[in-house]
Amino acid sequence: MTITDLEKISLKLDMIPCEYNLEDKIIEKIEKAQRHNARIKLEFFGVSLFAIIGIGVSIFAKIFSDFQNSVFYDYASILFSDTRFALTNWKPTLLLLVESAPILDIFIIVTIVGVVLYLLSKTTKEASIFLQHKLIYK
Amino acid sequence: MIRMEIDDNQLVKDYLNGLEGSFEIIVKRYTRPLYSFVWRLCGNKESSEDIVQDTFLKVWKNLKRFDLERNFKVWIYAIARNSTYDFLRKKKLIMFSEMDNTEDDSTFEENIADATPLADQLFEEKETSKLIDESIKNLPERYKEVVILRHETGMTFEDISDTLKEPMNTVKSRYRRAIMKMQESLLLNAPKKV
Repeated sequence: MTITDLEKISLKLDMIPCEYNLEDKIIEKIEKAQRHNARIKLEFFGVSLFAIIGIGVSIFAKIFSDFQNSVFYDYASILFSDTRFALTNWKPTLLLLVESAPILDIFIIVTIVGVVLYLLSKTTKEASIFLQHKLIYK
Repeated sequence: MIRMEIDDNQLVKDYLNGLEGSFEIIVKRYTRPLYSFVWRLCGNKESSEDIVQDTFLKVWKNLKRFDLERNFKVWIYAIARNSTYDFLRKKKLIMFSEMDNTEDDSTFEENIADATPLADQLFEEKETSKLIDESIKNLPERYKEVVILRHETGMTFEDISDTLKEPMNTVKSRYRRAIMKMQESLLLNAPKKV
């Protein structure tokens, strides 16, 4: 007699029944974990967003103040105060504007705006997961 | 209802693509089979429920790391098995020595010199499934899991080998020994015909 003979006896195992609502308990547990994760991320991104906005406002104020005292501002003013002169001498005007442009300040502003928008999108996403009561993957 | 027929890996893909309801189908599909598997290993209703819930939580947390080329059934059963053994170890219900691999890699096809009559008539008896359950319960853990995976989930030896992360010969060897032990137990405990 070999093992294959024993197998032919059709050893059949009946599935052990479980509680009728075990599936619901499982889904509820996972939804709870999902909301918990979303809450932690929401707190992190939310606090970061407010912090960046706070820092951003003071940086913007400083940049704006420096901008008003800059050479670029003087040249830009010509553009609006004496448009005809600016257009007649557009090449040197453009060159002066480019040379005096506050590249670093522009970069800082763009970065801060980018970070704020990113944090805002993350905060919104986590808030929507936290407020929903279903399993979603985002 | 049509979604219930969809392949496991497709459901995982759908869930990761944001399709609602896909993970719930996986839960519905595997809750009872996993519960049965875990219950046979640990023998306790409440613990089995906790372990199954824990298993699905781990599955959900690691779903984005799941390799879609792999067999999802093998993966989920491996998680369930590991969760069960973690639980049993914490409860100190199994000794560490039971986890050692003491089987050799002998070949699977082997004639068993056994003079007792084949017990197939025992399987015809009404109490057969109870006897089988009892005989499985008394098996060592390593043999038990192979028999359950083979005869409850219908896994091939290859899948079982992947689930348990053991060589196929080892799995087959354990299966052979498990069946032998079960046969001994059945012959011992079968009701005598008058």
